[in-house]
Amino acid sequence: MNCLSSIFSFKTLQIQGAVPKAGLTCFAIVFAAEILVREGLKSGLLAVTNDLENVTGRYERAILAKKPGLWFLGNSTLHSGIDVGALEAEFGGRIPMVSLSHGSATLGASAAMLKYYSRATGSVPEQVVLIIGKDDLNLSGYRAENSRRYLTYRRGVVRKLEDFPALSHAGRSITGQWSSIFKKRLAQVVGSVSERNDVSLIYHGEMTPEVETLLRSLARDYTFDFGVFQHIAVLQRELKIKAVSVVLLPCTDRYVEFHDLTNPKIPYATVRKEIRDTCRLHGFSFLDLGDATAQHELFSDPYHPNTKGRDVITARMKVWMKAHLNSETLEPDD
Amino acid sequence: MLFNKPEFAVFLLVVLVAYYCLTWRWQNVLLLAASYLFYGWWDWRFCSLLLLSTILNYSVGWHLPRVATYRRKILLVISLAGNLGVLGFFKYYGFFLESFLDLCDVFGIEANVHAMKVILPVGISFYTFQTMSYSIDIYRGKLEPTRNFVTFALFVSFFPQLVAGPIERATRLLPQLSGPRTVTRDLLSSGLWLILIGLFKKIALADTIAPLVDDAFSRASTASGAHLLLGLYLFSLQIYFDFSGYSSIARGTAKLLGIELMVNFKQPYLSQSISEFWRRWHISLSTWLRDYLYIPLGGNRKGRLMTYRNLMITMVLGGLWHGAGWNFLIWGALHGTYLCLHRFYCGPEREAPALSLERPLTSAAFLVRAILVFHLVSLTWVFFRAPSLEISGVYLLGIFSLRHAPEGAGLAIVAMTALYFIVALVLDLGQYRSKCESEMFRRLPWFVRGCAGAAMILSILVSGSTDELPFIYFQF
Repeated sequence: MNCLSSIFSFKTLQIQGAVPKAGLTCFAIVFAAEILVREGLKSGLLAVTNDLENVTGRYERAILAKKPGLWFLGNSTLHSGIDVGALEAEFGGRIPMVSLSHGSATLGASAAMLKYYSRATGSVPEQVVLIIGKDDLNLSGYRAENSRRYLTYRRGVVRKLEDFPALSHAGRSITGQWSSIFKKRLAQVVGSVSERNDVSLIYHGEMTPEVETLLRSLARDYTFDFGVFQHIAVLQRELKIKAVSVVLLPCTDRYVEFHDLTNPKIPYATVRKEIRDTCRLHGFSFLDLGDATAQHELFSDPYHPNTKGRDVITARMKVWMKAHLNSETLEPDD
Repeated sequence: MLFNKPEFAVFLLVVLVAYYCLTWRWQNVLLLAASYLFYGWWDWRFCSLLLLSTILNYSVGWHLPRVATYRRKILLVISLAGNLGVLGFFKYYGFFLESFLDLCDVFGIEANVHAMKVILPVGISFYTFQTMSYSIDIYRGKLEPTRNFVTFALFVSFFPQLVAGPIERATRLLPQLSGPRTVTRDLLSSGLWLILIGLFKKIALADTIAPLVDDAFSRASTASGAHLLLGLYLFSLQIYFDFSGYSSIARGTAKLLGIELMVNFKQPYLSQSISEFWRRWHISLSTWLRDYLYIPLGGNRKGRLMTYRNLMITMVLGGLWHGAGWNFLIWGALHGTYLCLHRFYCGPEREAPALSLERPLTSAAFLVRAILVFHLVSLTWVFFRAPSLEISGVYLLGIFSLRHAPEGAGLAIVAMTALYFIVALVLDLGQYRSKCESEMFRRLPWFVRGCAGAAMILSILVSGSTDELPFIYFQF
């Protein structure tokens, strides 16, 4: 007994007194709000916050609705660089296509998401086109760091603990509705509220400190990811995908100059050659659009094409696809 | 483990339930285990560093009063060298190596040095300063060394303040850890309010400001001058909400354990002078620097010039404490210059009149001075936030360039900035006369208090980011 009393004691907490009315009021209000939001989610008035869940949900619905035979996978450069709608129209709608872009995804992350969508929708594409830039193959850069979330997501760790209160899960939807009301009111007062539109921006070729910081983080300790091609080849066999193509997008001369300066052991030309050779090794078609151009007016920053650049790249893609794909069977002709 | 993550809530709940069932000696053992778990959650390997620092300072502290005078000095030097050596290696190795290579580059020397990648252990600056103050206080005869190793180890690793302060003094914290604690209803209520206020500041304010600030600093050379200025204002608010939020949570958590930690922030943006700002901002660090650096250097006792020198040394080292980089050095030097100028023009510190609604003219002067100090401080934050010296320069030039950028976010960012300023003012003016942040709310009628609490909880839940945003001061 003595031993126990030297360990256990219940004298620390001394909280006798009246019922905490403020605490109960607070709890009641939060509880009522939680119930309301749950109802809002059920009725579709509100949506979940998790951006990735929103994106994947949208893509899954698109895949299920269209049953596309051709999947484009990539990151923001796919979104800003290729007009998949225009490509689809070029083939007269005979080949349904879908564009699946995931912000800052590496090639490995795109492969992970390919597997995820195949499992989630139960459908497999006949052909996959992977849109890449040279930093999507860097194992040490910012994109590799940022892409971990896609790899985690594929493994099924979707919902975090903090998402369980419906208020938190639907947070952005609630704040979005508030801010749209606010914007409308503001627009009534001042006329209009400007929105940023990066896709229409024009890059003027300047190497500002913040651009340099970004490029440095992307190309940091450049380590070429050979393994990802092997992984995609295995995935191709596993999912029985007829053909895999890789498209290297163009970029500005500034982007390449910076890469060569910071990674003299693996210059851009070597990266391009490695991509070409590795694609050949695994039997992937490779479209090399990766010339470094001084036409800065086609970009919104050193590597994101703007609307004008997108039209140019899409036109080149049309030519390539017509030459290399059978428009009926999707089989590569060469 | 972050205070703003649900894992911490679960962890704290388990610790509290066990804590309230134990005698104080076992409570210390429990808190020590919990603190190492808390620290090891981030990277368990660095628990050994924490233990090493504990053993070193415990041993030195134990032997200091028991040896002859000349040996006491040697022991103190061992303690300081050990603490500063570890801090220097983990925090400044990369900086000095990089500076050395840059210097070689300037002189055209090709230095082929193999650089190690050193990970900075979370909170190392905080617990190193805390343990150093223990050894110095014993050396000065202000403190008796503690016999109990568990109590001392807990003093070093106490989880609420381990990774980002407040930097507690042994004279204040050790006596609280060396006896039974009682958690009264008042303490519990005050602690819960502090945690709520802290989470509100961090999640609903600082984290929602973060994207706006990131946007401004990522477009330093293209965004309009007005946009950059607003971005800077917002960063001033972000860092305040972020760090004071952390301190509030730390103090609230400690209160739930029956322990009082020092107040780290007292509405710094209402300061009337730069000198007052440093008595209100990161108080635990500024008082540490005052007691263990500025005063031993001679303080203001050796004439004007020496006072300026001491101020500059203290602030530059204070800047370097935050991080190894030229930006932090300049940040510290700027604050040092402000303090010297303030001393030059105003002489020894005079108390500025407090805010009073009965005397509108005084209040107007109060606000003008507060706005001036806010701008002076904000200017220095550019160096704190920008990733490099070059971007700091571009950002500052951008503000004064009067550049117009058509794609700027325009009125939306103006409205957001105004909104955050209003919230900051309401919170700070409300707390201006209180001893503690929670007091402002606890004075309200129960229904209003309940509604205010609910509003804060709802804001936290709704604005909770899906990305993990750690506290800014974790990197120091």
